[in-house]
Amino acid sequence: MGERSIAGEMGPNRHSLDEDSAARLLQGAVHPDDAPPGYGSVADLLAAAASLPAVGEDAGAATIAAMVEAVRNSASVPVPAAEGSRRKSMLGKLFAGKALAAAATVVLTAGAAAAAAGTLPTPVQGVVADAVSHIGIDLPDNHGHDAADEGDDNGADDDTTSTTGGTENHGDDQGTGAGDGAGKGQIISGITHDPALDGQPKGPTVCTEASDGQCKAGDDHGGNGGQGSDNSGPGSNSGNGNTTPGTPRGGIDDPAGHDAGDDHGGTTSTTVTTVTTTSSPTTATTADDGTGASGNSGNNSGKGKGKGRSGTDD
Amino acid sequence: MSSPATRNSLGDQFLGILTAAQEGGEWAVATLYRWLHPALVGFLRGRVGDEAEDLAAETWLAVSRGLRGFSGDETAFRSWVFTIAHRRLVDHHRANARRLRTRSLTPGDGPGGADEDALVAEPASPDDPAAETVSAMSSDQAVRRIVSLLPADQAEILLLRVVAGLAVEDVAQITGRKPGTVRVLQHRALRRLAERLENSGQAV
Repeated sequence: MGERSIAGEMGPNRHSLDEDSAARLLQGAVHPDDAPPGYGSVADLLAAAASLPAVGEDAGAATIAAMVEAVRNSASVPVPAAEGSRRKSMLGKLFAGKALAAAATVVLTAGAAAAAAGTLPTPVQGVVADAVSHIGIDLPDNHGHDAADEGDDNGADDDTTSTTGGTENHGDDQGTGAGDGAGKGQIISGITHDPALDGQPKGPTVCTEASDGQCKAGDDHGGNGGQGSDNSGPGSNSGNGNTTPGTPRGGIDDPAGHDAGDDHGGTTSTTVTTVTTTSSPTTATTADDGTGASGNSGNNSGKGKGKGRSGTDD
Repeated sequence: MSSPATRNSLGDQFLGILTAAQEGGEWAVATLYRWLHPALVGFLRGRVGDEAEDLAAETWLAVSRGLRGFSGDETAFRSWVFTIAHRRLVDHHRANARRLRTRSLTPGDGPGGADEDALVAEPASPDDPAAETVSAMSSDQAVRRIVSLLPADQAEILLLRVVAGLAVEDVAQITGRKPGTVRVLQHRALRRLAERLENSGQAV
């Protein structure tokens, strides 16, 4: 108090006011005589302002009558949105928007997967393949084995890998071409479901089997990206680029080595993800999602999806 | 000394009164009106002067129309009423500003007309002898004095805190400021009041 009194005599600090005193002044809890130096008049003024006159019994009769009428009329009229309900309504809109976006995402993803797998109706598949070919993406024109053929044409070693994934999706259905791929699909499926290998890394095995020993499991991403670029076959690029980096993680969580591509998809656009899924084992996963609806891929689909998620979590 | 809010409180009776008012009970509506009307007019008078009663009536009608949708305690109700009053005030100022702009384009209708005067509360002059005897002031005079001595934002904060009896958080919500900003403004307002009151006292 002595400190404050001294400060009070010094002019510039005379009206200094601590937080607590300010709060008490505003609450009307300070008598003018007990106010900090220089604040006696303030306390008086605030007390006067707060001493509100009472409203007489007859005062405001017209306003009260209008209020009662307004309250009673509001019974038949929708109640004006209170703060809470307005917020609820906004939340509803927000969730509706999110649900719509989620639905659109599902539809687009399924469509992309179907396009990648070549399971769209032939005319549609042709249009889509033609459209995306302008941006350097090759999709099966009519059937999955077209892509396989193209891969073979490219002649790159990695085509085997690519073809494996691509034909596996359709081999069951069509039983045409890509017989090698279909056989590998079964083999890979067998590996992924081999109870003897449960709990053990299956990725490298799958990778090796799928690529006829060409698998670069454990190679770093950059190296593989470069390798992918060197290959002329688009299928090869994506197949190798995704399979290889995925393999180490697949070796831990993902027996099929499928969702190695998830990482790449996460850092690139959806379109690129779709492309990679076209011909790589990753594609087998995505494509299986699409073809799984028509019962083509069976077990491979479920395995690939489940494990892929855990791999992504890594 | 009790705070303005506790001094003017319905206490445990509030919920019963609110429920009755929401069902259209005239006595309950009248009770709510008589409870908060003085504070409402006091706050509005500091901002719009003699138009405070009209604005208060508009506020009460808006409150009545939304009364059935309201749920909350006494503090929340008080805050809600003053939120509506604040919005009416903002609308009122905007309308007056538009009117002034229109008038200023009309030849022979220069500034200083009746409309412009209506924009702000009639401030008490610092040299007004009636204003100097603070202890003899009515609430109305005190409010006018506060408004005359402070910038508009500080005066509004102070009136909402002292006359309306609202907490810092409620004032912050009503005025669209952060609680910390409200605390700073009210602190500045008190210091300024102290300085101005002291100066006016020395002048006499």
